Amino acid sequence: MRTNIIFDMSDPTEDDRVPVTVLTGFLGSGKTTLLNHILTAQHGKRIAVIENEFGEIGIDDALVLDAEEEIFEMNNGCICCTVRGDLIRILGNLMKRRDRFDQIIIETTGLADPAPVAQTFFVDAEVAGQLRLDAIVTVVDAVHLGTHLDDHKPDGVENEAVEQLAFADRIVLNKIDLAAGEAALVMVEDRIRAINAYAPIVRTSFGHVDLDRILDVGAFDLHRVLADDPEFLDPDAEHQHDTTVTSVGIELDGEVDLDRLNGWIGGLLRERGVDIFRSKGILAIAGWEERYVFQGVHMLLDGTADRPWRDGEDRRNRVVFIGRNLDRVELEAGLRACLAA
Amino acid sequence: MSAAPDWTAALGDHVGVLAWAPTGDRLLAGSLAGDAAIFDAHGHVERKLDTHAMGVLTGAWYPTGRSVAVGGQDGVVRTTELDGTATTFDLGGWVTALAWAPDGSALAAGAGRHLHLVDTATDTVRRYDPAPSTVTAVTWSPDGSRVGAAAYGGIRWHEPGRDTDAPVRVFDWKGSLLSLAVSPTGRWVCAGSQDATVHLWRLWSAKDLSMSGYPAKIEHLAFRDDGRWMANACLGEITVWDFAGKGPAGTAPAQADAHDRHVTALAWQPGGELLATAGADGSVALWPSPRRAGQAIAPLCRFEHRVAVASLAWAPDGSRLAVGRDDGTIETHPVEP
Repeated sequence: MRTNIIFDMSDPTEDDRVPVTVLTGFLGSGKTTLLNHILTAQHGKRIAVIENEFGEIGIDDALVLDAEEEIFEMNNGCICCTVRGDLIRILGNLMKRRDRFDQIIIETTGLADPAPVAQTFFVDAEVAGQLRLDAIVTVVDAVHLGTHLDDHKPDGVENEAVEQLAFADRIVLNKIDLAAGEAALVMVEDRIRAINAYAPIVRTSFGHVDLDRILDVGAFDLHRVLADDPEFLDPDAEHQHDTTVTSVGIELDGEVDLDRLNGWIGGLLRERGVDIFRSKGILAIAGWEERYVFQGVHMLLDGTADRPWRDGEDRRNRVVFIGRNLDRVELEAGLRACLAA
Repeated sequence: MSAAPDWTAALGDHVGVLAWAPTGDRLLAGSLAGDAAIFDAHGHVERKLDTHAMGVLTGAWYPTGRSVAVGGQDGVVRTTELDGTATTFDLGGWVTALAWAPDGSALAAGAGRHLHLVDTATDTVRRYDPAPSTVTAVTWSPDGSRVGAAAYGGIRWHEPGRDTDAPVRVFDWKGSLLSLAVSPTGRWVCAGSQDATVHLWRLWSAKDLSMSGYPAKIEHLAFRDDGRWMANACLGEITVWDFAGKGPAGTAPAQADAHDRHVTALAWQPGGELLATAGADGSVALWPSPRRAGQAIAPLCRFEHRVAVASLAWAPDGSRLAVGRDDGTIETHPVEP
């Protein structure tokens, strides 16, 4: 397991790394239509698209590269730490070329696991030095999502539709024109929320999304952790459903002890990292003027000191986990035990 | 080394491939834009080679220098004689590594997940069983009896003399190997890994040893001509291991902070004692060999430049160092004996 506590006080606005958007979604969800919409609307920008499956990209300006999914297990004692070797190679060569790109989009297949893609940006220093993972955008079909979510898999095999929703920073609910009215859409959104309570859902049809809502959103920017979670801890936002993958948000007043926190998060991710897909948090550390922010994918965690707490701002801890078989009571007790005496 | 180059030339984009002919009078260069050319001793283009769509990734001279092989992201390996006669082999998959057998009887090519053996006498290609991932590096045992391909999961050794497409031996290592070097003594093979380790094996007994503690992946490693020292780079630091006697087990390496940004190339002077390193910060430095294990080393000379270095190549007599840069510039610098 690797927990990096990096004291990065650099000005986040000076980050000139090229943004990378990961676009996931099932075949038929309208992913390729959305991609074509992005390429058309971003006309004039130099965009490279890395594809896993043969799409029908109708734009000549974009550089389109094929990738054959090569997943490596990292030999660092962490069983769920897998990376995409093909992406390290393709992105490395892309960034060495003289013509630079404004944006890179990685399109994964409906069956791809988003974790190795995201972890590649945590694990490879060369990739992380030049590129920043902006967001994982998952496209779902308003009509067929339910069927995909109900698809029963053999034991030990993950339902990819569930996994892709759990990992998402933004969820594009596409083909709303085909849904049976508002009630049906609310029901689909409810099912999405039961798995991932924190990713904003963007409704659309024909993939015509307002691009500001899915591109350059900084979902992996530590300085923007939990910045766009309006529903945070709204009790009504916690949907009870019969699903093993859920979101748990915890809010706790007071200050936490850094050593206890490191022990708790470290132990939690070491023991439960396989089941915890995403984690994020803003914490008030005893003796710190700055907020401590972190986020993780499985066992990999990055954290940093953020801006100072403002005058009059409550020094309150907020933590979010999205994962399998999460126990809210246990997680809350764990964080509470970190409170400074 | 003189900071003023003998000559400079331009290839247009990141010069990832740079290799002197064994005869020392020609330099092969290839770029990520896909251009490749042979320059003469004065830096003039002697022959422009066919382009490789999406970039040239590797190149190697025939042992006598009578032809050159170039491979690219287009999946193509092309051999070109000095008179311009070219032969194309479409292997499929990125061609990431090329290595001629020491006697020139075959060209080993890593393309996609397969090691291929090109017999240039008959223009036939033999495709070995796939590795678990894309082949990242290829090397021959010094006696030419075996050829090894590095990939995820270790080094897979094949014997061209045998009638099987399966490896005759696999040096297992659970990790993604990125770089490979056989010691000129034939005693060791070393591999740099994505997992921030250098793993080494006795070439014939396969007894192995891992050197960890590096902060990041190891993409560059090389043995000095006599096999005494092995240098590797990690981020901006270089580490030089003593392979005298029983090898580096239990010894401390010589270490130095070499470049402000990560090291992009390193190469030992043929027949000499100098190590050349270059970085993404644009600087090039020459280092003496350590005198003993664990010694701190300081550069003999260093010159700065604003454009990142992509590749380095020593002339076979060690008298000149060629430098390829990110913007397509190629320079050759004289190095005083």
